[in-house]
Amino acid sequence: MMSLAEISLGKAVKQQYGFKIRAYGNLFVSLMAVQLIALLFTAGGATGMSGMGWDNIYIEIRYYSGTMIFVFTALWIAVNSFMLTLPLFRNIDFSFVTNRISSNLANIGFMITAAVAGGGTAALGSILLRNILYYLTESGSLIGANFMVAPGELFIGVVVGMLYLLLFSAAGYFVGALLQLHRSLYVLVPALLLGVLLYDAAYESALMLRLIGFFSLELSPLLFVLKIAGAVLLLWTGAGLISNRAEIR
Amino acid sequence: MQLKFYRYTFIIYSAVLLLSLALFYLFPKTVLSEIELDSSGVEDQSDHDAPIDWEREQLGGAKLYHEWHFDYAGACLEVAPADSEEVRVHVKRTEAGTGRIVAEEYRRDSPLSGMMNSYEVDLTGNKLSVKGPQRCELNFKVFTPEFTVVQFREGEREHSQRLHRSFEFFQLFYLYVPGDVELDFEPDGNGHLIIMDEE
Amino acid sequence: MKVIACRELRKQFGRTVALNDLSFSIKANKITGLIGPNGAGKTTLLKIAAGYLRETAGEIRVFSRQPFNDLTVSANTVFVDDNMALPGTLNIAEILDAASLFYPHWDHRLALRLFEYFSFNPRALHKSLSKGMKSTFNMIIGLSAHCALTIFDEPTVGMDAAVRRDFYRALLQDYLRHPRTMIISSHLLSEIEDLLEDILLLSAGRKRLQLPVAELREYAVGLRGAAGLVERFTADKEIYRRETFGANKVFVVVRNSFSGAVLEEIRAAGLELLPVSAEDLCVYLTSGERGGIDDVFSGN
Repeated sequence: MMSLAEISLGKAVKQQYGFKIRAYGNLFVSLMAVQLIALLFTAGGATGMSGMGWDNIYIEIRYYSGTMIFVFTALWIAVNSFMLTLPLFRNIDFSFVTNRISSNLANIGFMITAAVAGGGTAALGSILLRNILYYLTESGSLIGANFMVAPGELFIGVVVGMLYLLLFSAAGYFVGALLQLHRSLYVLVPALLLGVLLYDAAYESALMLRLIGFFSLELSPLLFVLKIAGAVLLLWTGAGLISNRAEIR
Repeated sequence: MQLKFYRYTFIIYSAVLLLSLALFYLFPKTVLSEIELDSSGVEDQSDHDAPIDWEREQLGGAKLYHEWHFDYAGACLEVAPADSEEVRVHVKRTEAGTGRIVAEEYRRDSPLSGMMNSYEVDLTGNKLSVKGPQRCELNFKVFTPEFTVVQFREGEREHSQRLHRSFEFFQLFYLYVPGDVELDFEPDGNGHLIIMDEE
Repeated sequence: MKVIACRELRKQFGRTVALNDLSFSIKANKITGLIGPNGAGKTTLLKIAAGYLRETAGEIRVFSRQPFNDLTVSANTVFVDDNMALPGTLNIAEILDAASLFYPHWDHRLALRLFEYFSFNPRALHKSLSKGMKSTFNMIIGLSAHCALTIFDEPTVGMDAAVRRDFYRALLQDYLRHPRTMIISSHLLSEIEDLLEDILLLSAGRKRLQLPVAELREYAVGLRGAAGLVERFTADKEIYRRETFGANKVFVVVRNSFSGAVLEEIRAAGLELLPVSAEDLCVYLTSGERGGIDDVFSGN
């Protein structure tokens, strides 16, 4: 009789996580592609333009921002976190050693990694954008405010970016897990979202804006971190509970 | 092979980003410093009060860029805008009998001031022709801050508004005329003559 | 020691009952064949054992544990079929490397030698393999994992005859070196009969038989001859199969429980006594008492 191999949850998660980092390494290449596309869009055509004229002067201002790079990155992480819940990817986990808890925990580890990589590269991408504009276009008319970013600010940008990405990824993961419950939810969930938007428009309420504002208007770093952490934990737990009874294949 | 490709691509990308980071911080950049955003100009809600306020704090915000001196003995001065461009002339009465007319061009002290064209002033007979500056076109590239960077900064969202306001009223023309000289102004529909309070 | 034990196991998908009142156990270190026609519930049973699916009612224990969501069961079980989901982003050599990190008893030397023997291109992608190559590759994972419970669900789908032979050979060789519990499911017994020690026969979600193969071969006997005579000897027996041919002649398969004296009597009566192969018996047992496909054409 072959001896039974005992395996701790921690070890199983570690194995799965390592496996995911290898097997889904292509996602980090797609992260690069997505960010480069955003960079090209932003550097090539400004995100906004305004012209002002007075008696003796006409001023045209082109606006640039690394925000587009971040938005693309957020889409990237939300979509890919959603994908992790698809049967195809779940099944791959179960081809090897796992249970639903370790599979979810490894996915969470993977999403944290993706958020860290995404937040870091998005912030650095905005620096790359500045370099491109400075060195590759006529730099004389660059206004220094916001172009220059103090290292401390960049650091804040990186950390805040990572936290937002974590939130987007947890949201994508939760929605994905929810949709796996029943086929009808593929229609119901988007319909519900659309319903909220229509409700907002019809009754001039701003449920969505208030939800976004809950995070984006938070000025206290501590509260911001707590809000994101709370929401993320809630979404992960929800996804975990939903998928813990799911059958595979 | 697959794995290596993904790994190396991402490593190269990270390396490029880090190099760009080094490039950004290690080499000084010559960029336009922040356009004057002094609070007196910003918080003032009425544009038309701006020049008066400005004048009051002349030493603080604005700089004299050009000065024209004319000796004038006539009793009547005709101020005439020289072209179709709109010209505003702020007139200030000085002590009577000096026989000196002084024209001054002020610009708000900002990186823009050096880029603008000057007024043209000429006195022939009793006619002072004031030609507004040649219209100049300026292009600026402005960075709006990444929202991640300014998450904890209050009021950051009005930044672009402030930026717009900061471009306003940066070039002014002042004319100092002795109190005893009568002023004649033919607007042609294009000019404004603003008489400032006499001291 | 029992590796798998089921009691009144039931599995329903919506209204379809896939497994019904299934009770059996499988002892350690045996190769068991799970036999049954398509739709008998073989795959469902194996997936429940592997922890993929959850039983609707009843009880299943693998290594004395409830397999659904159990890490120990997962670490000691490998489930191989032709739907095995593997990442499309890694080439197959990288997949072997990845698999080696999961299984505590993984035999990488074996994996590489099999890999080479079947001339796999290490840089190929799993999804681009032909059906047979895919099955072969999955089999390499299943064998090299050296799991205490090794499950092959219809492992030879798409393999050509030579590869099948090699596969069964490899399986046996490896089993002899590293005895463990193996379950091979198939709808055909003949191919794997020589390999198996035990057989678990399923039909319509129920257990039909569980026997050592050697006993199965002796389990039934066929009587051929005049209908009246045959019926006299088989009247009190469960009839596994009955075929009519010619005028008033029948072939009937029943449990081989005749005493020596009765057998003599049967022979003396001029009836033919025919051995029933394990494979045929399985077909008879799972197709019911009906006469098989011939009934469709005979009009009764």
